[in-house]
Amino acid sequence: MLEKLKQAVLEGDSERAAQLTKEALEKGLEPERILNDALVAAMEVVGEEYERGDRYVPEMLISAEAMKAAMEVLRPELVAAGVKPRGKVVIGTVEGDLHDIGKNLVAMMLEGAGFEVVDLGTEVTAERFVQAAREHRADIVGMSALLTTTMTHMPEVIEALKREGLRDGIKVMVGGAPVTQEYAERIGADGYAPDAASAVELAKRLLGES
Amino acid sequence: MARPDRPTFSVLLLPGRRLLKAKEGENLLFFLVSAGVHIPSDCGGQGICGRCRVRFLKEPPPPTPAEVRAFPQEELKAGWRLACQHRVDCDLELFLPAFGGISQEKAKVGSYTGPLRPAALRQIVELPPPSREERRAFLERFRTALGEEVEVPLSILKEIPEAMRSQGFRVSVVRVGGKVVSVKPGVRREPVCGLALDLGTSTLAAYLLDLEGGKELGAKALVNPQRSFGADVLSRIAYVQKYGEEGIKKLRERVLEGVNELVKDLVSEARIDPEDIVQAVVVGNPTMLHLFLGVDPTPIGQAPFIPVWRESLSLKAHEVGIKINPEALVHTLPMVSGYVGADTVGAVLACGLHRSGELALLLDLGTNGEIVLGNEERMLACSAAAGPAFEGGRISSGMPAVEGAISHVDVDGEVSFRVIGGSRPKGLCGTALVDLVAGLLGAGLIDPSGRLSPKEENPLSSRIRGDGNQRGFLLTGGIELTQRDIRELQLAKAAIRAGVEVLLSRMKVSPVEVDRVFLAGAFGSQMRPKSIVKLGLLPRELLPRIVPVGNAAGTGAKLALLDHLALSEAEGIANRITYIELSAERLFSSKFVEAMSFAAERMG
Repeated sequence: MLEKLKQAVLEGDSERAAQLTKEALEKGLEPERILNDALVAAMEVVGEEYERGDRYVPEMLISAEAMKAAMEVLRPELVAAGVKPRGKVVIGTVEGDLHDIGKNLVAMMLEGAGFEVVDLGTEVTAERFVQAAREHRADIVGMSALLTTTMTHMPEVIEALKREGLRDGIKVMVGGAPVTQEYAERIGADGYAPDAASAVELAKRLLGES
Repeated sequence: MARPDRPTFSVLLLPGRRLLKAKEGENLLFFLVSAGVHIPSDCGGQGICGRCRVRFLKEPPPPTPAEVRAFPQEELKAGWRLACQHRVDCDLELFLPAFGGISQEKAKVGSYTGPLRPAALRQIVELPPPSREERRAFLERFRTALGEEVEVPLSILKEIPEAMRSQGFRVSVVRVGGKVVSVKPGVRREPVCGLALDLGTSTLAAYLLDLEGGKELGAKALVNPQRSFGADVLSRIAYVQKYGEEGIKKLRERVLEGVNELVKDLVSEARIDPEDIVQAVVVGNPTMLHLFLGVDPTPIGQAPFIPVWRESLSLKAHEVGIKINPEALVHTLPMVSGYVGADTVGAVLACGLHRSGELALLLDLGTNGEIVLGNEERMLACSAAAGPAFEGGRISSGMPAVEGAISHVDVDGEVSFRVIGGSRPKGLCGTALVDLVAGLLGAGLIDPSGRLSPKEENPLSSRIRGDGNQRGFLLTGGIELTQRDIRELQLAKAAIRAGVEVLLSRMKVSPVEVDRVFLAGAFGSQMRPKSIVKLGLLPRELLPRIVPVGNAAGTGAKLALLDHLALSEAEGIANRITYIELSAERLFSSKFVEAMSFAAERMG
């Protein structure tokens, strides 16, 4: 059953993924087991295949969509069962930047790995990042910039977190085409990921897992 | 108290043994660039592109992480470093590798067949000499003789008396519209010339025209000297963000240097006097136009991406800094938005979308892809960030379309290719990349998802080596197409295709309703239409309607010189084009993802 659900996600069959999730719940399988053994497991395979160059963004997105469809069914049950997410991530593209395809993919992959994601959308100002981080008690703030001209807003957000006394309890991860590991270090971010699959690994690492 | 001057160090450059002085602490890349050294840099000194290679001949500094990524161990040992990663803190001896020039293919000489009614014209007038009856001032007599109200600048006013007196009160006047540009004694025979300039992000092109005969006297192109500040407009804007006024000044100087070098070459080959160039028309993308005039481009760099001005400007050569007749009129064509500029307006003017009942798609492919869809009734435009892949950037064996670049590839049971200049192949330029991927798709060695996948029955499979993202197709000795290269191309083509799809959908038409496709740009017009549709850059239905048009932006600038009505026509075009900002468009995102794959049947 769970193996079938995993396959449905891998193949990107949203309808079947939602249906199988429903059936698994009806059969009395624990929501947490469905999440970990089918959905998270499937997205792990997706990440690995991406790293190997066997899967690309469209195929990754299709699986992420299927995972999302399954999650819609599963989420209320997870909440009811009191299952805690792996961590809370507040994510958005920085001020002046409208490009969100990469950010959306990262958000979906994080969700698929069992994180709770609060997506602030595009053109997010430092104030809004800070406000959301506080309101949602975020463990991680994720920022994306696709333009050389807008990535300069990343250090502003980090500064604002410091000013508000939130920086110590929050990990900051950054990404986007012009961003590099060195840039992340220079501005004092906790981590950089070149793509959505490695963003998941990074988030886990930042929270002291794996 | 004033700080003591920073110590200076000597920097010796080889080959050529050029000796420079640098202040302590200066960034090596920016120091070399401001000293006029041609050194490539696509990322503008961020340590990403790995192109600003220099070899430290004495005591190389320890390598930075960026350098460890950019060079194999032996090269690091040999002293190879990236200039952007170091500051000058001792005397240096550096070896600089040769930085290739550019082929002259972008600027081809053509002939003009349209209406010849330039704004610039020469009049020979005879003025009544002063006498007891004729007591009007020199200027008054001059104006009356021209028969029209004209504007006379101070520098010309100073020349009028001498010009009038020295050849029996007969003078040659050159004017551009209502503005007098030169007054010379007697009947003169020098040509009346115009200069058309196309300021591209990577290439500057200039054309010299004889405006009386409607003849092209010459065409030249060179690598935009601003290349050292980054390959795309955004890295140049980022440079201005960082260095402010000083940055604008430096970038402006760089482009002017390039333009004046082109002018110098053109006038010396055509054997004319720079003074004979009395009008210039300039096209270019918005960022280039801002930098050319020394106007801050930073508002273009961030949403909502707004230019400082949009309409056409009429300026004087001496204020712009072009070394032609100082009183020459310099017209910049109007822009549509922060990313659809005078170059696109020029291309529309040249292709005549605005005057035709036919529905046409204009695609100008360069570092950015500008797309216009429309006809005499309505025009839509957008700009899609294709990135540098089409120009060979971020491709493992990629290079610009210069000598030694493979320009076209055929995959037909065997693989064959053509090299620019016919010499030993050094790398792949954009057109070859497009051909090769299209060919491998056709052979089934790249699957619809973009994955390089060997097929037992195909003998070419033996050329596919390596694993995972390191997997590559060996084209010829040392030149490989890697899995990652294919992914880069997928991103580039998806951006363009998604832009096309958004315009089609906004216009509420399907591809079959498009009557004509104009492919413009140095790269765009060299691409094989067959490869274009195989890749899915354009819908398959459009294949028979593709017309390559060369540098249409430059042609537009020439038109505006040869026909004064074209200048106001351009203004009308810019006002009538509706700009669509793709990054704010939901449909763009979904089409972009869809278009990344090569499975054409999924597009719609």
